[in-house]
Amino acid sequence: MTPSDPHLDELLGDLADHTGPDDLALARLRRRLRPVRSRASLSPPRTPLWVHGATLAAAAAAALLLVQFLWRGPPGEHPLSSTRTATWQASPHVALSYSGEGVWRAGRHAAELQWDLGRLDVDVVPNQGVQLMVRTTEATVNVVGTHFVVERGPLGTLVTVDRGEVELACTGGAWHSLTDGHRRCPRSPQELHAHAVDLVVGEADPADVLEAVDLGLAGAPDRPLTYELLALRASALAQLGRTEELRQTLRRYLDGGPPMRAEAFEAWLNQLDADATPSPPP
Amino acid sequence: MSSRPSPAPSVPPSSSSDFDALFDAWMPTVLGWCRRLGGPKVDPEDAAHDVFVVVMRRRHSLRDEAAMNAWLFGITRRVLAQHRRRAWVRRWLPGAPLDSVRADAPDPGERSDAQRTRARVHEAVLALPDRYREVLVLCDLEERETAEVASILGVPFDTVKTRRRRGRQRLARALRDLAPEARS
Repeated sequence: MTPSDPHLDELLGDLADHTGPDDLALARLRRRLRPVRSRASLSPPRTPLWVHGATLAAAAAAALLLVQFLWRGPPGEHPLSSTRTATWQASPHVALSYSGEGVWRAGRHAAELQWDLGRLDVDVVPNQGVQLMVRTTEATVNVVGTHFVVERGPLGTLVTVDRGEVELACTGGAWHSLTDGHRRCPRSPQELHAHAVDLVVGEADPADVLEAVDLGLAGAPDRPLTYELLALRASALAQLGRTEELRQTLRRYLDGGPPMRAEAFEAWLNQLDADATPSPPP
Repeated sequence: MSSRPSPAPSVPPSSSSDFDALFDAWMPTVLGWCRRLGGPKVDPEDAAHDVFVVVMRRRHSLRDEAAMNAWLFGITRRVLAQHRRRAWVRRWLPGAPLDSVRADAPDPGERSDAQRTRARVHEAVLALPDRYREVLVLCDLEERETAEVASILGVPFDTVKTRRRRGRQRLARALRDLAPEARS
């Protein structure tokens, strides 16, 4: 029940009379709304319900795709280090077996394996959309879906494909498809020269020295390093008793080589030419 | 009291030619609501203008034509709240006036007793909580039936009656010094 209060009614009535709309204000508002009115006449018809439904469905599908896209997980790193052969299931479609050192880096869309030293067996299930790249200092292997081995040793990186196919690029070189067999990406000539010197100092098998030297020479070293490698090659060939190759190496050295060893090598070559048996290097 | 609006058209206009009918039928009501419910910080004409902009833009979304009153009141309520918020934010902006005084407002010193009394009543009405103020404006200033007010506000019939009773009690207390017996 509303309490009756004539005086309050009178006050409210007076307020109502003086706060109501007046013609002047209404005329002002009509003028202000004129431009809006002309725009409003072009207002579009009511949107059909099916349009809202289709919009909702599209938004839901987009949200689902976004969730799937993000659900691949954040990028992560996993160090690989073992002196004995170890195995690791890197992902549902990638199995690794390794002895050596490297780092596995998984991104949202692709994985990368930096392999530093040792042997690495990679088994990738084909046709599963796996994007994996194995990198060493000398080589980059793009995995198509296969089983392959990456070995990184003193001479460089050797990639051997057992099954399937990889794409291989030695540092600074072009991409090559490798299906069966193996291919080596050698270390730099400087590194190979240092390795060959280490082998000589360690009195290693001269055949190993020769292999390192030949890989170094194949890497198109600069002139001073070329003659250093030729000197090492001559030494290894002499120990192996390969006279004809020794003669060719000495001649190649004498063709523009530095004078430091030139005199001795010339005498050595003359001696070789004189008697058929090779003598120890000077 | 003569502020009751004329009957509204039953169908919202669908073209600009019907705009005048919509304006004539509803703008007095909207402007009255803005003046009586807006408060001192709100320019009622600006608010009424904004209400009508919304009405023209969204008139196609009104499905139940009988609910025009309630629909319009809902829009007015939201627009007034926006204007109050803007006025509050403007207070903190550099260069904003400390208080908004309408240019056409009379100097307080020149007001008559009746004007001063009216201003007191208006301030007291505006000082009421929203739920009481809305009911008082619709029932006592616009003389609407309780059932109609319940429909506009979207609350039960008895709630309107209760709010009206309490609102009047609060208002009477606030204006006690204006009562004839207090003056004598």
